[in-house]
Amino acid sequence: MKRAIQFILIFCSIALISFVFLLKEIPFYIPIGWPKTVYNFENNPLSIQKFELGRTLFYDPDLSRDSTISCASCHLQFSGFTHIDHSLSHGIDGKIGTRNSPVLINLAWNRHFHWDGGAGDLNQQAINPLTHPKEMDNSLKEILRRLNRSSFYRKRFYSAFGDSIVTTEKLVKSLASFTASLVSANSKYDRYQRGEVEFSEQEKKGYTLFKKNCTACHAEPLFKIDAFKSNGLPIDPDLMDEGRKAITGNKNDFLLFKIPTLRNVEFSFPYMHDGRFKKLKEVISHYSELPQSKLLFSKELKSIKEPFTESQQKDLISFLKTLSDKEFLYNSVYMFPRNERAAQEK
Amino acid sequence: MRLLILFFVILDFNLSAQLHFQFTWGKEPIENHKKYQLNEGDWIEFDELKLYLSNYSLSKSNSGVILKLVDLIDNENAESKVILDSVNINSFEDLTFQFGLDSIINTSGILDGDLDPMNGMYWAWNSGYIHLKMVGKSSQVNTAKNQFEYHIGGYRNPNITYFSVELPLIGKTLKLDLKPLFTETIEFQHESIIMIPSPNAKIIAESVSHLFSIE
Repeated sequence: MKRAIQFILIFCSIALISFVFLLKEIPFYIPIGWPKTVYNFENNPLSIQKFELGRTLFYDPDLSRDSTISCASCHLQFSGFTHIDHSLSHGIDGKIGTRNSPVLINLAWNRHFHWDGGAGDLNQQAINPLTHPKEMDNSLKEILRRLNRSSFYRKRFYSAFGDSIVTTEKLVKSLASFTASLVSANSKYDRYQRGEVEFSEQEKKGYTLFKKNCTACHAEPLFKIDAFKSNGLPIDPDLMDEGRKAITGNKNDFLLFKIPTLRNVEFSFPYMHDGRFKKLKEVISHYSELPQSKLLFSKELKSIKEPFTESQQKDLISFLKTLSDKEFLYNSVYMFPRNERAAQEK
Repeated sequence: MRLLILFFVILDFNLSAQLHFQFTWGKEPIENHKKYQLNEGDWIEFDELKLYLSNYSLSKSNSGVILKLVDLIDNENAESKVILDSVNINSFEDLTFQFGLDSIINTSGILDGDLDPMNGMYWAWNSGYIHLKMVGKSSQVNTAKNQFEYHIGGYRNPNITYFSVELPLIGKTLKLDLKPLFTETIEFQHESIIMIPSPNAKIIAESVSHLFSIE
């Protein structure tokens, strides 16, 4: 009798565990009313195995030359996957790069990656930070060697791809399965659009101002367009960052940078490609004063006819804060994979 | 059943009709690490020669096939120099292909086989492929080691380095003669190293696109 109960208990727990595993869903979805994704999921069909593998790789410092830096070192979830509080991000050996690490939000809708658009595809993008001498400074050969000698990873690559040999393509496709699944579409703004909540008076005023002055570049619902523009910031003489021109060699692309999304902007400080502004207020007053200045900037910014008043600036900031999506920033499916890491260390 | 067997025999026969790629110096096939005469007592040798060919299409009067293939050709690897082995080239009159990789392939995110960045034909900082790599030495290069290094690539305007090439299919060997490139286009004293997409990289790529022939 005892044995029978024991057997039933074991059976039930196995059933429960498998049920929980089946319930696990890939967090990627296309929110209602959003455009088609740019990322081609047909070339890399999503699966929970690939997503989880990508997540484990994203948080694994062993991908860097000296096993100290992971992707997450410069892309922290609660800040919208950027390097919070660092104007310029630091990578291996404490080396400082020339740019503020970009947020990783709704990447499946991105055509260009990096501030200069140096990568034109999400699969390819990961190779840059993995091999950059100031970021993770590893070689693909060494990364593949490390992954291929780890039975932990061999098993996971097998369950994700049906083949345990780790190749460049499988590595970057796993990472992209994780990063393409970082969808943020449940902010107060989204709930307001769905008629679930009301905006305050100040948020409404801010939204009206935003639509009039900002959407040429930060278009809804992604709050960005796939383009490179000059926001009037003069070149930093220490960094001499030419932006898009360094990639295309086209002199018209001098000081053009990719337009970032404004989703979760409340938490992704500091701001701009080199992180020169610490507060949203500084960003707004820069744009507010720009049309009266002698600086060079893209024509879209001419829609700002006159400087924002003090109270308009507050309204705008209050609207920008409605783009914060706490569910995204604290979603446990994107967090450090504690159980996987424990299994790896066994 | 007999018909089926016959069909397979024909298919088998077709598979054997391949095109062979050859780098040449004038009429002579280029071997890596071997000296060739550049001009007036100057020599040149190649240590690395690699290039990408892609998007083949074969045609005859009104019919044709398009083959969305990518080939990485390495002068050191005989196997890589056998191309178009999946079709019977004998039944076509013209071959069109692309020297280099277009922007679609450059950003396709397919990174295996010939497109694996591990092949050393890839730039990470400005993601994309090196379409042609020519590394070697020449007595005309005025540096200590006499080295030249040309990494020719780029798929974005204005420095596009992929070009379409059309040739009559009158032989089994696709040749690329580098002699006119080094005697007429490239000036070592002006630039012996190119590592980024640039106007000169485009000039070199365009010249190369005119130096293919089938014999």
